[in-house]
Amino acid sequence: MRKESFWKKSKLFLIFAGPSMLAFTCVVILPFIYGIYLTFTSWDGISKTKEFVGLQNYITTFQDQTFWSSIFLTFKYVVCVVILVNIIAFALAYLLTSGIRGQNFLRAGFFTPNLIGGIVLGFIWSFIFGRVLPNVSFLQSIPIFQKSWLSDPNMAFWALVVVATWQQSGYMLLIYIAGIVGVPKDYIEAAAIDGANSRQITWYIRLPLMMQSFVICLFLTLTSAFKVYDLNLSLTDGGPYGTTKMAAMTIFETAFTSHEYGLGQAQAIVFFIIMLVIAVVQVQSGKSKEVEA
Amino acid sequence: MSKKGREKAVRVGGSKRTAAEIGKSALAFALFLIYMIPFLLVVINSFKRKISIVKTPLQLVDDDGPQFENYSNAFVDMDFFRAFGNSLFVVSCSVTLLIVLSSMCAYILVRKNYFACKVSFLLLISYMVVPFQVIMIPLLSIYGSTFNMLNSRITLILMNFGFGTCFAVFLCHGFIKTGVPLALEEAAIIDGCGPIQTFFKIVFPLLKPILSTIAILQVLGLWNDYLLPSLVLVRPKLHTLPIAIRTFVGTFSSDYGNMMAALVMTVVPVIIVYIALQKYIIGGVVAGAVKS
Amino acid sequence: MKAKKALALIMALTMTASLAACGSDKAEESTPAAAQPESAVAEEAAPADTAEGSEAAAAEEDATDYGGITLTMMNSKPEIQDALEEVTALWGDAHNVTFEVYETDSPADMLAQRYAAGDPPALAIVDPGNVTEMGEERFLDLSGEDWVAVGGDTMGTKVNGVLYGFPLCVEAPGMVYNKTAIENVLGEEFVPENYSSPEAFQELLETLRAGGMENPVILNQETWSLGGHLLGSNLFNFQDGTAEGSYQFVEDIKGGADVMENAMFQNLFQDYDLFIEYNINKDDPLAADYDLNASYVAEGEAAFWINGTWVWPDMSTYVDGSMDYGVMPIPKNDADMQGKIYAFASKQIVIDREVATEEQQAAAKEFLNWLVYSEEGQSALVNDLEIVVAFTNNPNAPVNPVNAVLKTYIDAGNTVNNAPFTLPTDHTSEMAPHMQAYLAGQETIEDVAAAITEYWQTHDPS
Repeated sequence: MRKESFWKKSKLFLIFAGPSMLAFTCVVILPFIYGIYLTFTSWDGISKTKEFVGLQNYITTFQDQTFWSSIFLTFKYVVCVVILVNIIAFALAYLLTSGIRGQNFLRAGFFTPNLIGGIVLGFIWSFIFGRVLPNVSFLQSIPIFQKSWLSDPNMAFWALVVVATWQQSGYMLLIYIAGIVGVPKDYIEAAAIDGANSRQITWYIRLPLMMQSFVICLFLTLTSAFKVYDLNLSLTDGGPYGTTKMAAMTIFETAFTSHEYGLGQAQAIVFFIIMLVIAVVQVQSGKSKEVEA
Repeated sequence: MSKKGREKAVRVGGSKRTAAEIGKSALAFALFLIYMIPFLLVVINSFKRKISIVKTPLQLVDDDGPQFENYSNAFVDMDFFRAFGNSLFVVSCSVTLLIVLSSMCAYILVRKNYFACKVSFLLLISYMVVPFQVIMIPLLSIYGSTFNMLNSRITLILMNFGFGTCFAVFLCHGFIKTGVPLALEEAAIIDGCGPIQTFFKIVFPLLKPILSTIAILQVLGLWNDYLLPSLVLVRPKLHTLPIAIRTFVGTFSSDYGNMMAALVMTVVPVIIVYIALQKYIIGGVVAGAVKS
Repeated sequence: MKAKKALALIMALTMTASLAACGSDKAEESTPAAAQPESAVAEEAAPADTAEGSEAAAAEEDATDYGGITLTMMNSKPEIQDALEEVTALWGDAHNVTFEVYETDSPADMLAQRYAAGDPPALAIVDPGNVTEMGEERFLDLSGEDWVAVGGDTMGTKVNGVLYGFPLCVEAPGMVYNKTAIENVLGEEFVPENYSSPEAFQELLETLRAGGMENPVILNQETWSLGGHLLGSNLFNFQDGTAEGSYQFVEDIKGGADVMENAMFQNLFQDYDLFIEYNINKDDPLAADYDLNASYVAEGEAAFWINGTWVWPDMSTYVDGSMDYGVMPIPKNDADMQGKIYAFASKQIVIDREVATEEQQAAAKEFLNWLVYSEEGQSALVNDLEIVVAFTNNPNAPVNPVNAVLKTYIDAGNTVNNAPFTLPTDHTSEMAPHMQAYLAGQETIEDVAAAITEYWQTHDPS
């Protein structure tokens, strides 16, 4: 290809990527930089004065056990959610593209969980965990259903995982469906003519060609699971006795409830760097498996 | 049944059915029911008085008969038409911007190897791991205190676009890379199309499945978004549906009947949009385009 | 080509929506205009009428015209939102002021956001702790207002002696009881004063249990209930019933005093053990459902709900009118503290001094005066907002039975009010988990004492 001039390149870039990058810079990058500045102050989030304290907030963050135990809990949660959501979403997507009757209707149904949020989500699920499950007769012999899941630290954690899986698998399902139907039919037909059976088609044609969908879904579940806050707040509110406070909730409480905004912001930056490293590793390892079309 | 025949059966919606397919259908419907239980509970309870919601949430019909007034109360209390109009305006503008501008952005990021493209992509991706809380207060300080741009739907739309574009570019990027054959574009360029024409005539139509998916996911997300709109649109007149639903939230307890009715009224339009858009997601678009 | 159609559809929708929406978009942004010259007039007009706390009457006759200004108001007491909108409109219409009232359930976060955005509400209903934290920097000094003389001075929140909060309502944490249900078992009149000590109260619970009410106590599991009220309100405010006593207790802890040795701490856990033993939710105490709890006390399934006077809107759903209710303090060992309830102005109205124009501030002040002195305003507070007022000149009787009983404590002087002592805003979220863990049998009393010590020794709410 012949070499493009700098001006032509710039023009092309600005026309195509300009609006997106401008909006992105305004709402994300500028506030982010301002946010980094705040981590070097002892600002309480309300007062008009911001005292410069250097790296103090970062030092405090690294010494703060509560923060690190919430990070650890978040990791555990992320691993569980990412695995469950993706397995279930892919299985469902596969099922719902296999031509069963009413599949369009079903697809719409699986994402409705996503539409229930906030207070109603908390109300419905505490009711299910606290009052439905312990009262369903055939479940009563099973110890884990005898008490509310939300009053036991370990079970409350699993309650979060279950609800997150329920919410997100319907969402990821849509991306997997787009991936599955995006596989060119020619390839499948060609393979079928060559005598491949359906398992082989899935394994050798579909899966490699939809690697991109896996990368996307893993990335999305990973990042949203790391950032979980709303679900945490409405379902367990960090309870029972503060055992299910995830990273975002801890950060939020430090910044707003304890009025240590600078410290909360520093925790958030540390948390961001951890997530960034993990996400980059994940995307890189996914890319190496991708099939270039 | 030949493999080819099976593919055909898929396309016409499974007119030829085998035991395995019936099994699959049964499984899908069973899972569907489990998924829907919480939503069904919302619908059932949206027709009940608070006292029966609290005491007998599983009861199908209130002792006093179905409480349609939950819906009329919710309708009036949350100023439904105004909130619906605000939501519709914000969401449709945001999503339109996202679809058109993000796909253009993703296109250039995939096709050109410029330094700016690499940096841009990296920045966009990095944002997806930033917890929103990190930029919340700085965002408010900049656009509230400094530029006095809050309490405007346009501001919210631009912010939605700025935040959403990362996700949209990310999805399009992957799709263009693997799903859009370079050969088509090269042919168009040989035919004398400029880059913009090439994009809109050749590439954009090919992006239908992923753009519809993005549209759905964004409509879904933005329609239900609470935090950002509540920060930007404080005046009651500008409230979107999720903010309006807060009317039914009390300090300690809430007005569950009205709240659930409001939720149902909020959710139904999204489901309709999904069903309307979903035919664009389905169908082997790419393969067809290559042939034509 | 289908894509084009879809796009066209989206575009069309956008256009329709924008027609409906664009029009009103910019209009309201121009309202917080610069200060207008006449503002001083308003300030003089209002107090002139009502000087010397003269009885009601005044405000209605020559209402000031504020020329169509807008007052934004943040409401952190959602249960009064509808009534508040009506009350503000009532005054606003007469004075050519438009109110925009929005609600929030976390005033601290919302105020921090609104001030960061340079768009604070002109008036805000907030918690006393918010006033303590933000008063000096952000709110208007209300020390010179007339209503200071009729209750503002004792109930309004001050910072370093300057009054910033208008006491909107008086509330009291305690035990909300179902009088009828108790009397049905006892067979005689229930006199709360007879059960002021933990021992007497335990006997009562035994009697109720023997009489068929297996578990007469209802204990919430929420953080605000266990951490904020049961621990926060009782431990700190009943040291000796004064602000000095509360501050001294905190200083003692910081200085290394053993919390376990503290009499009120021992008293509190003596009570807490009783509540836990007789808790209707004892099978799974941390799964207690707030709404069911409300129905238990309202319908008489249990006798005592460890909560506070704010419960009526939540309880009234289950009240059929056949039963009588009341509120009493938790049992105390110290004879001086027995029979006294901690009553405080739980919501305060503040006026912004940063962004609000002088005219807006003047209008806001006049509105507050109207609430205190005009017949209409007095009635609005008690009958529409259904609260117990802090102002001694208000002749209206509280409208619900729980508030009516609280009023008898206030009128008899049997209250403890530790203003300006307030707990830091993170006290509840830090301490409640320990109260919950104790409830679930996961922590001992020593653990809770140690957590309290650690909290005060590491936090410095200067």
